[in-house]
Amino acid sequence: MSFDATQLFAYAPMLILIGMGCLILLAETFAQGASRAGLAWLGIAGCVGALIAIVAGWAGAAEPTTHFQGMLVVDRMALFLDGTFVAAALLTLLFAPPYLREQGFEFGEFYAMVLFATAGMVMVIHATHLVSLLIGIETMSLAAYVLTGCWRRSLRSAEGAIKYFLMGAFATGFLVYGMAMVYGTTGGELSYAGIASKVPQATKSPLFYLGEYFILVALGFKVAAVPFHMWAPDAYEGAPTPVTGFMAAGVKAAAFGAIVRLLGSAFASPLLVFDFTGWASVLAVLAAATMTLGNLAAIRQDNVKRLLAYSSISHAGYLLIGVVASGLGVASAKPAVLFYLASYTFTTLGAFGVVAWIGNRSDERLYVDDWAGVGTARPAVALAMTLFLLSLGGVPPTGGFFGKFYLFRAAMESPQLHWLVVVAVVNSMVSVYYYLRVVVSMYFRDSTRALAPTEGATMRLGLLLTAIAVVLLGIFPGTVVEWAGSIALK
Amino acid sequence: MSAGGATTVDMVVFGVLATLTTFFALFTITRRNPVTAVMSLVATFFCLAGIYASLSAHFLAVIQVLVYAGAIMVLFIFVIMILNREEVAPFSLRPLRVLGVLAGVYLLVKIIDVVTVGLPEAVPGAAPDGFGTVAAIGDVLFRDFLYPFESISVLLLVAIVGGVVVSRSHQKEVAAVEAHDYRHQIEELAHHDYPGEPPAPAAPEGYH
Repeated sequence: MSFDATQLFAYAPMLILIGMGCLILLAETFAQGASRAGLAWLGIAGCVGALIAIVAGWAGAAEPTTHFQGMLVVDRMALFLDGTFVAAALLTLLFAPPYLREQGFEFGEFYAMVLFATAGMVMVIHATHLVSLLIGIETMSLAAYVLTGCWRRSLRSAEGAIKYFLMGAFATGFLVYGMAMVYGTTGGELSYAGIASKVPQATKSPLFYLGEYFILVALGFKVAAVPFHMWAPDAYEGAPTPVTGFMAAGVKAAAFGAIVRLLGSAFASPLLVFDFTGWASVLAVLAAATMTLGNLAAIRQDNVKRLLAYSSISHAGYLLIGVVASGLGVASAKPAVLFYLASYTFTTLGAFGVVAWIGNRSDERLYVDDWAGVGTARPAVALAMTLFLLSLGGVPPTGGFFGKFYLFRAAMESPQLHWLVVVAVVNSMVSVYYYLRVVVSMYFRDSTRALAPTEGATMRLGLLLTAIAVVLLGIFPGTVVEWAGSIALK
Repeated sequence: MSAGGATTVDMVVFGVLATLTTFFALFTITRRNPVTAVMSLVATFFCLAGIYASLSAHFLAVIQVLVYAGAIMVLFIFVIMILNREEVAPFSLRPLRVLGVLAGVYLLVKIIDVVTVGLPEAVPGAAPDGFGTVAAIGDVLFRDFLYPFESISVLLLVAIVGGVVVSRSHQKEVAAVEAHDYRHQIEELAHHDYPGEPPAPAAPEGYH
């Protein structure tokens, strides 16, 4: 079997991201002071190039094709999520430069790391083999650890990075042990298709179940599902704010993509879904616990960054409902999960973008009380933040509302999941309370001290783009679901 | 050792090596003396190499000894010696001295044995011919696992660059922030007769 270079074209987005990351690393050497701003534009150019490559590859990906001896696949689901990741990276690169300049740690490696992390996410979502999954997850996670810890003056950043790194390394251990057990019990299979074909004889050994659940535990760490969520609030709070948005959106979306693909192929056999040992009931319980605990913790937060961190945990719970529904054979569940991921990505990035905007070097303004008076001082930003928070809470006419709507509707098609939908709806209503606390603070309370936000043209552009995306997802949800549906209904 | 090919000898060898590995791994994390801990780690790596070799992954075993037990551990020991932390009394070596003499005697007997009698016949393994050899590894690495082989270079690049980013000095960064604040104050003075609201001292939190 000879190597065919043309198959590389299918992976143009990944290659563009990696190439541009290397280029930034090289250019960094020659960049001095102000010219470092140009490095961010290199990264943005890379993202735009990757987006173009994704659009160009869309038509050819109607039928899934595998490459590299079954290591990678190109299909619409992968390209849809690729687009989401690259958009997240693009927006992060718009938010980050003014923030980094204000906090005094702008350097080119930061932008390169964002691109490498995105390339890692792309690897994760294309993976159809446990080895390529592992490499993708590690590339994405290592870059995310570095991005979390690169704010050297902040002790919180170091604390968050250490916690994230240790828990992440632990999760990797679970992943690799799980892979080993699956490999052993299936008689040497690591590709998703191979595992699926060997499930009947592999399930004779309890080690196979252990391996399966080890892999799910590792991915549970990455999406910060309860009870594997302990690292998330500290890592999210400590990371530089644009990075927090990127992590909360991109890393979570990539891990969810991996879960959907893994459970949809390797572990899709009814032997593994149902029953006492099946993942459907386990994940359903985890979904309920994740939503509820995330929301209950978020209610008690006064720090907006932590509040959004806990809210992002609860969103992982909603997404798990969709995963369970697709495991129970609801065809519309996968597109619903993908749409939710897309709308959640834009909304979260926008919300953290505003958090990055509002503070400056000497005054981070992270507490809900600090947001008093933003509504009168800067009505446009306050409006955007309100939009993001309403979208996170699932209030129409935003993308977040339709995300929840499609997800819950898919879950309603399966009678076993009705209780979960009730839990989720109650949770959504609870969540609106704490989102509205921030809105109330912005509009109905008088400012205690003058606002001195981190200004920057790219930041304003980023906020504008995210706000438009959230509104568009709320107005034309059908179109996006159709893109998502064209992939996943197979 | 392929499925079903495990003999009693294999199992005994595995049992001994696995027990030793676990023992030394526990030793690594429970000793207070860093040199003892590191030497236990070396022993752990050697036992792991033994397990690899008993699974007829000879290439992996050699690499394990060369890279981990050799290069990385030497680095570790040098770092510990250079750091020169105060010595915590190492465990008593007295009982080990007897063991050392015994081991030395055993080694001597073995060497004489090998020199006079010659090597025993290679033990036939259950694995196919060439399994675990360098050629077989290369074949798998550059054909079936071409993509992981290539993409792991991105992972390593991220790890190296990330290590540098996280560990390099940030004094320059601090100086730049301070310089910016002073510049701001001077600008203020140029525009007004008195400085406006003075910029608050930079980053109170975690500043050292």
